[in-house]
Amino acid sequence: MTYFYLVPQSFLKFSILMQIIFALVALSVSYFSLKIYKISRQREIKLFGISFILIALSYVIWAVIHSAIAYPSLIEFAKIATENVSRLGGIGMLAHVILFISGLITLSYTTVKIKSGKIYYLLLTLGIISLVAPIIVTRIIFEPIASSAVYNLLITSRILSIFFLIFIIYNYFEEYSNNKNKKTLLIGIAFCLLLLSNADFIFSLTYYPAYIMGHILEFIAYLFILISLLLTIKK
Amino acid sequence: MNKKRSRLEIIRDILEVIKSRNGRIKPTHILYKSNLSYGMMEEYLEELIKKEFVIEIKTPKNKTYSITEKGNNYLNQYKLISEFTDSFGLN
Repeated sequence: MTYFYLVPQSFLKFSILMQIIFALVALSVSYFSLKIYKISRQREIKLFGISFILIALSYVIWAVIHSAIAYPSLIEFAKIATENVSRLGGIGMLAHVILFISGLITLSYTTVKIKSGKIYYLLLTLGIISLVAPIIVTRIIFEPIASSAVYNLLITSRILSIFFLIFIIYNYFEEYSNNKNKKTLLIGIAFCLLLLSNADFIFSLTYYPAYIMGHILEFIAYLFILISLLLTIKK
Repeated sequence: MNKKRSRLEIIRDILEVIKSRNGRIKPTHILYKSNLSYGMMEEYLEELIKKEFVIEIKTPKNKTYSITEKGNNYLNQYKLISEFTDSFGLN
């Protein structure tokens, strides 16, 4: 199995647990969002829910990939041939980044409050092309995905994430300046932490403490999102 | 100066007006009570009919609007909807 980051062995199993927690928080946000959509029938609430479903799925896939690294017996149990393991790992990583970026694009599109499907599909296509095109061009999709290609994919996805997160953060702070709602501020801060974690993960390709720090930042971010959600539905 | 109403607030106001008239009201009354232009009111009513919050009852003389169960549910849950959209910056 290819290692995509420098992951300290002692932290690997713990990181899987954290990824499952991130997925659960994102799923909770999408569940309540879609529940509120059912009552209000407002398109932006539906899109918001969908964006968090995509983000949750990306964490599920990430957790599955890391589980295969942490528990090699799973690969034996699933009867996956050795030559296919790296390919599946690479495809899994590709699915993870596509889902995560698609989630952020959907969220960015929701925050701009423009009702145009064309703009949404344009953003989505651009985001996915920038991730997938280099892989298709180098034809590695037909070979076991090379580590260098996966590194490029990861760096590109992190840079794209940072770009979309800056956009989302700007919108949240703009919203906060209008409504002065502390929960909006908390979510804005959570996205700032997600931005920092994405920047930090770039360094984790060569420097393993960055991987731990990235997870801690993400954990605090999702904790803030969860607190904000609980405060909202409690009222 | 009053803050500009959000989309959710306008929908709430229209539904409240319809509900206040025992759930049946003429468009002119909605126009007067909801403080919207005629074009905007038409647009909102079309949306509310599409979302099944309101039904349009046409007679040879006039047309009236009536609130549905979904519309009532929206009014009952408005606080939660508004709290959610405020917190998550969806207004």
